[in-house]
Amino acid sequence: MKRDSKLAPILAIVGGAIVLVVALVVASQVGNGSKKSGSSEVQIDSIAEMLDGIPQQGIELGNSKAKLTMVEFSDPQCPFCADWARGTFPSLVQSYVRSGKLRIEYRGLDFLDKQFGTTDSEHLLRVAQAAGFQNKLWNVVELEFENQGAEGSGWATDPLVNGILGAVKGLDAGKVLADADTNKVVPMIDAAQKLAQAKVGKGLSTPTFLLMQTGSTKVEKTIVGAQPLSTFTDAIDALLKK
Amino acid sequence: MNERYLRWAVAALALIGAGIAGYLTYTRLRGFPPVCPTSGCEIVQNSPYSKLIGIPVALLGFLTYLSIFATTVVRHPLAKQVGVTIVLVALGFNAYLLYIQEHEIGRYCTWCVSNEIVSAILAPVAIAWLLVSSDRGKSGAA
Repeated sequence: MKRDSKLAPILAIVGGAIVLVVALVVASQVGNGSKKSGSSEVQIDSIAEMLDGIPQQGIELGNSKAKLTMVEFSDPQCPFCADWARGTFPSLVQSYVRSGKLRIEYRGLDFLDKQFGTTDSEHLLRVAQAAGFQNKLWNVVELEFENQGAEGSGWATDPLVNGILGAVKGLDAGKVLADADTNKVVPMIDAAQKLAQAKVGKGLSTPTFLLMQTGSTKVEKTIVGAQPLSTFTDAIDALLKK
Repeated sequence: MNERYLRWAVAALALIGAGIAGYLTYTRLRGFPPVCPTSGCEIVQNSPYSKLIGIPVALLGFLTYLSIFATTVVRHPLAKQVGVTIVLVALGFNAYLLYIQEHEIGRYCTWCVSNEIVSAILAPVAIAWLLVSSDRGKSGAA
């Protein structure tokens, strides 16, 4: 009985601690998790804050004189691309792009529409490229990934796209929608496809990343898939030392 | 072991932890990277896992260690139990953060790992503090 009376408060402490740790871990994971598909509510998150003050020019993010350039090939419907955008991209932006060491080019591909018989990828690519005319492409691309639904489900509805455009400060959403419906955006989408074929070839999958010295066309490193952050930082650090 | 020495040890470790977490909080809030032998600190500090419900994890750590220290000063029957509970929660959450650095971010933050080591030392000391004081209370009653 005496042993039980001594153990009881200790067990209560350990039990309470375990419950609290589980709650904290769940809160941490939920905070970094993805949005449930099928909702039209736009998740703004902290994308504007992440990109604030970083120069954008068309498809480019970061200082045009940065030593390194990373080309991102991704499809707006691709879930691995969204995982990468949520998990790895913010750290690269903060550690390398903001400090002027790295610039990133967005080369969006319409990869999954044919597979699922949808038009979502094309729709979202057109909108993103049109936002590029106002130098807000990256805000739109990252919001598209943040609000991504299940591939092939037709999640890229007009209300969702409008909500995304409305969430970008300083963006003329009406002009974006008008430009997205014209042929003005087609050359950029075609150019991305041609570049992917030339540099990666038939085995292309998304996401794929090319690292090169800015101004050079020689690919120094190709990274395929939503690899962990360390894969990117190791490659970037090595190239920065060259 | 003497209950007083264990209490002092808990207090000292809590202050060391608060110092480390306080430095990380300061650099985070001021927006510059912590002094670090690798790029790991900056990357971990800028990762999505560096915030919990919008609050910097470093700040939560700082407040946690201050709370532990407070339980060594406050003279209340429940202070030790509360202190040890917080220590165990900190230990569990620090283990999670270590896992995240290894498996999700792929980089270690030296300051964060230092804090995790402090937390790992603090846990057995705090438990000993609780058990010794429990024993003394029991023998005193007898």
